[in-house]
This record gives sequence, structure tokens and C-alpha cells, in this order.
Amino acid sequence: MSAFLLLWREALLDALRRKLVAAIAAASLLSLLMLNQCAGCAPVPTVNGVAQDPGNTAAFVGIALMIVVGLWVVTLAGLLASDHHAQTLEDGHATTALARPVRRHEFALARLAGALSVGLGAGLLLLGATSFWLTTRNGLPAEPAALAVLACFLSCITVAAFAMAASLALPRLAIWLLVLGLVFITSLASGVSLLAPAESVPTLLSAIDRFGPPIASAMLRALAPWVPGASLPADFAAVFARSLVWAVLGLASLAAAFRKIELR
Amino acid sequence: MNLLELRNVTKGYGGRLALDGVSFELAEGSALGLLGPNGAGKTTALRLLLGFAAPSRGEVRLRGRDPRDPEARRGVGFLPERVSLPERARVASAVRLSAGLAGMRGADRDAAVAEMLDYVGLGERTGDRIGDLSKGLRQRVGFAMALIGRPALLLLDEPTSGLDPLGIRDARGWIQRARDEGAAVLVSSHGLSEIERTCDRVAILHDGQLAASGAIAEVVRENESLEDAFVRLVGE
Repeated sequence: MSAFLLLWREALLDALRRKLVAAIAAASLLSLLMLNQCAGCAPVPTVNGVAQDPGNTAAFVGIALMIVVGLWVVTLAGLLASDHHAQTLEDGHATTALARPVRRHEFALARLAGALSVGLGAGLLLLGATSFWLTTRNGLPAEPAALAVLACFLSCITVAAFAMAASLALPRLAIWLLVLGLVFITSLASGVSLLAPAESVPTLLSAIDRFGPPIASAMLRALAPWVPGASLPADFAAVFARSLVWAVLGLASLAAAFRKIELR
Repeated sequence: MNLLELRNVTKGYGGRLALDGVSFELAEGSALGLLGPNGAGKTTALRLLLGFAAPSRGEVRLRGRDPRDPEARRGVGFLPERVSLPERARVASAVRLSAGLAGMRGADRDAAVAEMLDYVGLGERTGDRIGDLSKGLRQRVGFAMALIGRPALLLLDEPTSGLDPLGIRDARGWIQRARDEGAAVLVSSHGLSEIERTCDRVAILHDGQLAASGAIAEVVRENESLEDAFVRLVGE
């Protein structure tokens, strides 16, 4: 087993021992119960007395559900990562590992992988169950859900890596606010850019939507084929690639930040 | 061959110099005591030697390499002044991780971990949580983590900190046995008697500068103890 795998295992066990994980597990189980209800509902809305296509309703409810759950999973990954590495520096635990022939980036990325394993595990459970219920009960295709889960996981890596890198310099509360702010502002930018006419979208939000981490928009595009008659948007590959680039940037930032830091 | 070497090393934090033009080395099979009052720069020297920080000026070599190169730290055992481990981790798993990072694998590693825990007197505590251990027992875990894999170079920062008299005697025995097996040892300590018993050379730091270094017999004058020499050199 390589040093990375040993450290990843240690980081995972360390993450699982945290009380926060018990709270996450409980919240996830409650969420599953609620998702089970939401994914099972099949309303037939009427407009001016005319019944609307239930396929459309199922698609929009499904997309909204997946996006909300996905954003929660991304936030969770960021919060979990926010102190998982910094803690080892504060208590001196990192030095016992780094006194051995371990590369700095190996240690930092193993800590990230440990925290992400818990976040992605919860994500797989929540998004997997939601996708399963939506596809089996409402007849929605499975492939868009799989792509959305993949996009969500890339965003988890991005947010968690940047949160962990920032935790080397900032206190935990500041990181939590940054994580929540990042998820909120990118989602807001995606929502406004999607719904409002292009000329009325503020420049900053437009720039965030075009160049920032596409946390909600990548999932949204992946799920577009759920709408009857729609297919993957033309820019899906570009948005997905941007998501990948941001994830790589996050990992590189973490490795670079930890390489520069002096251990006490 | 020198296993570690500081050449004219200066390390500053803000406007304060923790080390100022310090040089010393440790040869294979030798044992060096790093002495000095609080704030003299002992822990800073160890941090530089392990690549945890970079010198502001000068050169640090560990096993002939830059300490920030992970290969330099192969075969090095380190006991920090404060043994910090996850509170909920188990004793055996902490030592097993250290063994794994030292390159040990599989059944050999498990056997070595069990043997080492017996050796440091923790054979009955392998399943205990770290958080449930006293300071002295944690120090024993730290020793097990440093000694596992029979390192060629041991760096010990206040090794007897938190140990009771029996523990101190045990620690002295562990260090001596490591020396007998060919390991070079650097001990940073306030305990002058510990240094006298375990080391053949000393380097005395004061206000970040090297006040004296050499064989203990060279640093200590006639009819003078190491304590007398220490007090004379640090100017108390």
C-alpha cells in the first residue's frame, strides 16, 4: 500500500470518528425519507383549467430535486474539508507523518480524499436514491442523472479543495462562510443567467456564470434531457470541461498552499 | 559520513532570529545532545532538519540531501516534544501507520508493531484510544512510532517529557539500544543528566547562537560538570 493510500485510510477513519459525521448520517437518513416522498409525488397541474403534461411536471420536479440535493452535497463536502487538514497542523499530528518519507502534496491530498470520501459517500447515497426513485417511478432516463452525479462530484472536489487550501490561512468560521457564499453565488449566477434576459443580468453574475465553477449549471445542463423533447445542451461539454478545470485548479491550489506552509 | 548537518544556518520569524549562523553536524553512529534554555532555537533546528521549515540563510542537509526531499527522511525516526495524535485513534493503528510510512508492509509490519508495543510497555494497551492515555503513555506511543522500522537516525525532542522515573529509565534504555544497533541519535533536551548518559557530543544553543559544540569532554572543563559548563556558557 502506498503512503498515499495509508494516509487516505487514516484520514477517512479520522473523518468517520468525528461527531459531525454522525450528524450528517442522521441528516442524510431524514433527507432520504423526505426525498422518497418528493420523488414519489406526481402532480398534474392545470393552467386556466387545462391539465398540463405530467411528463413536464415530473421533469421539472426531478431537476429541482436533484439540484437541491446536489447543492447540499457540495456544501457538505466543503464543510467537511474545511478543517480536516488544518486540524492536523494545529495539533501537530501532521508532523508525525511528514517526518517520514512522505511528500507534502501526498499528505494534503490524502486528507482531502479522506474528507471527500465521507462527503461523496453521502452524496452517492442521496443522489443515487433520488435518481433511482425518479427514474423508476416517473420513467425519467437514467443517463442524465448519472452525468449530474458526476458533475456534482467534480464540484465537490473543487469546493472541498479550495476550502482545505483556504483553511491553511483562515479560521474555520470564515471557511464555512466562504463555502456557503461560493455555492450560493454560483447558483444565483446560474439561475439568473438562465431565467433573465441576457442584457438584464448584472455583469458580475454573468462573469461568474461564464467563468466560475459551474456548480449548479453543470448539473442543470446534464439533467436537461429529462424535459420531454430536449437533449443535452450544445455547451454541455464546455461546461463539464470547465468543471473539470476548476477541480484540477482546486487540487493544485491545495498542493501549492501546503508546500509553502511552515509546520510548527 | 555526516547524517545531518547545519552549515551557518540562520532562521528568522518576523524580526526575531530563532537561529543565527548555527553550524553543527552528526556523524554515523554518534549521539549529539542539543542543549539550550527555552527559546534557544533547539526545536527550530529540528524543524529545519525535518524540512518542516526552510532556513532564511545557510544550508541544512539530512542524510546528504535537502530535508524537504522526502528521500532524505527515509530511515529517520522522529519523536516530537508533544506527541499529538487523533484522540479517537487506537494505539496499535497509530504505530501501524508509522510503520507503513516507514516502508513496512503486511505481516512483517504487524509483527513489528506488536513487538514494538511490547518493547515500550504498551503490549496490553494496543486497543486503547489515544485520548484515554496519560501523557507518559502517549510518550511511549511516540517512542514506538519513532523507533519502529529501526531507523538509522533518531531525532528526539524532549524524549523524557511526561515520563515517570521508571519511564525515564526505560527511555534511556531504548535510546541506548538504538545506538547499540548502529543508529545515530540527536537528543534535544533540557535534561542535562539525560544528555550526559545518552550522548557523546553536545551542541549548546543560546539566544539562537551556538555557544559551544564538541565532545562532552571538550566542552566541560576540568572539575566541572555538564551543568556547570551549561550555566557558564549560557551566562546565567
